[in-house]
Amino acid sequence: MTGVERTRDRAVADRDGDETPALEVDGLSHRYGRTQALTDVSVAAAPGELIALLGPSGCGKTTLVQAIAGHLHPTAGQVALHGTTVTTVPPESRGVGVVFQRSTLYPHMTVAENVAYGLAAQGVPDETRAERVRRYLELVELTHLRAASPDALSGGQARRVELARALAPEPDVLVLDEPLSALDRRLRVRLRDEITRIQRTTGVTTLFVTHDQADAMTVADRLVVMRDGTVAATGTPRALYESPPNRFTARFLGRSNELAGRVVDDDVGRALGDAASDDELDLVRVAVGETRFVVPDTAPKTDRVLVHVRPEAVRVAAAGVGDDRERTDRNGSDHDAESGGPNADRDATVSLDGTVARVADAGSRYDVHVSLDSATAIDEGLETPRAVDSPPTVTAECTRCRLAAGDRVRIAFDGRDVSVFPWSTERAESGGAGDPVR
Amino acid sequence: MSLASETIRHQGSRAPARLVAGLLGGLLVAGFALPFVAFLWRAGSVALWETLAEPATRTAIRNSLLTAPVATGIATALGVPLAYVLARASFVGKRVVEALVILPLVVPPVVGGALLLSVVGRFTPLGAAAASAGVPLTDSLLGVILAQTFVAAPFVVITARAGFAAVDERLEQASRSLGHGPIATFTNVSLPLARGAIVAGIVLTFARATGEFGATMMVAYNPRTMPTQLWVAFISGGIDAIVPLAVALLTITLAVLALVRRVARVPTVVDA
Repeated sequence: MTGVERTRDRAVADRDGDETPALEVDGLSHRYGRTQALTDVSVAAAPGELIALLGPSGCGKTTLVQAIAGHLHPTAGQVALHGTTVTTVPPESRGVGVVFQRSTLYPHMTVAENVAYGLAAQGVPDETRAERVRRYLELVELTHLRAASPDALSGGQARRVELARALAPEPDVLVLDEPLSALDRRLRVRLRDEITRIQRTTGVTTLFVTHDQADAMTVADRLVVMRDGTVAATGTPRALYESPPNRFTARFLGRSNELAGRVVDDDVGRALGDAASDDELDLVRVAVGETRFVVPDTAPKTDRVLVHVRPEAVRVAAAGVGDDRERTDRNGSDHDAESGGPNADRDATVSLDGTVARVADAGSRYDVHVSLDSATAIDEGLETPRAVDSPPTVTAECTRCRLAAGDRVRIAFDGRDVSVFPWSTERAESGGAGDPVR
Repeated sequence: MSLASETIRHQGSRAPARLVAGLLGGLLVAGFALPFVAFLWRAGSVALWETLAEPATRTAIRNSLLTAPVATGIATALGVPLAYVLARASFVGKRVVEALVILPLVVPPVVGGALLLSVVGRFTPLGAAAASAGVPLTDSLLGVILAQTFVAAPFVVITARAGFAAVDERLEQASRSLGHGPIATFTNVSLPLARGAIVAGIVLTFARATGEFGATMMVAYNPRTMPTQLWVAFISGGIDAIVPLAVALLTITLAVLALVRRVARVPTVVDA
């Protein structure tokens, strides 16, 4: 396996040096007849990086893959590999390995012949070829099936052979188009881990396309979230999960509670004057109910905002019990927000009263769905928001709470766990907090 | 209770329906079988081998076995690429091309022969030029081949096209991404995977070319092939005179059909 690892070293060396992206997609647009599939998509991958391209079906992921692999001429934009533009270069001259969603193993060849197929095109001499086939079959732990027919393989084995076949010619970039979608849950998790291991071993720059946020977040160094043919967000999985830049990303990457808030100060940085750091210049002060806190400014200047918080960031306790009440009293009042700086505001805790509507036992935790007392409690001075369930429901996760439907509770969350988005009256299409466990 | 009675009523209504279908179908099968059996019955009473040994008959068999493979070869060499293009590409005028491919199947062969004559006939520019160059396109083996190709080629095109369409395009894309160009991909992947359908198409084309009469008669009544010789024999000697040659033709055709069944999951003549 030493030869395989050497490639990784090379990739790492590349990364330390000049930062020419291994793959760069710039302003790519494509339309099929009247249907616009991609609009101005730009994505870049550093050498050795594993990027997950995540989005719901029909968002243009496959079109992007086809353009990168060279099976499609984009209407506009460029694809570059290691700084060389390849937009019009045919697929056989690109060095982009592809694994499709459905198996494309050749039924008229054995497993070993399939893996050797790409080497034949490169004119690799026979003895080197046999050695390379052995090495890559070893990498996917299928050496014993070298003489088997693809028809005799299980779903997982077929995927691994395809991986070996795509990797054997040592491509510059590996594109995996929904490689796990056709597999059942258990196999999928195992193969996902294996793909990560193989990618780390070979160090090949990889684009992993999926509609499954768990797959994407587990494997990726960096995540590109797509929606309706455009890039909705780019960043590390953790960063995008914790501070999603928009509502779509927030809801697509996990469960989201949405509450109505209003902007009370859209330029916190100015108030601080010269003392403000760059970060602080992009802050807004938002109020949910009577609690004010400062958050990064991700919403255009609007009076109302959608306040997003993850269920695991929401604490829930029977009304009048626990310390949430005290913390709210300490941080939630107006004079505190005015006297403290923006950082003090970030510690503000929002706390709201409600009644438990339903408790779902998810095994490792309970999902507590709480109906808040009234819309006006969270949205004072504004008419009842339509986009937020009325009365609004918030989902909280807890591991040891003993709550049942009908209990009076108080929920609380911190300003630092909140993201705000422009007010929207459209219902988000996916990933709401009320959805079943994903 | 209601379920049981449903079932019974169901069976009760289905049985007569099957009986009727069986009777009607049986009538048709009898219509196929009776002439066949009656015809072969005569074979026992005629001088089979003597007739087959006659020079005219032998020439006809030889001509057929010479021309039909060539026509099949031409139809395959030109038809398989066309089938691939029709299966994969979308272009302006594709419908027209598809209609043209079907045309020889729906036009009566005699009319097909007339169509051909209007291009290669002895008094057309092309026909005259070819004749003066010493390669007459009518009343020659070349004319026979032309007529056979015209009538039989659609079979290989249509069958091979279905075969290529059944090959997942992703398999070809994978081959391209593995470094093989379009032609290598065609020969390494598309062709082997569509092989069954293509072979079936070739066999059907051969069978059709061997039996071709209408267009051949128009374009090249001479030299004789088996079908034209059959006609000549019938005119001069009635049914008994054609039995030997007909048996030979049937033998070839049946052998060919048996081959189709062996080679591929048969798209039969009817399907095509």
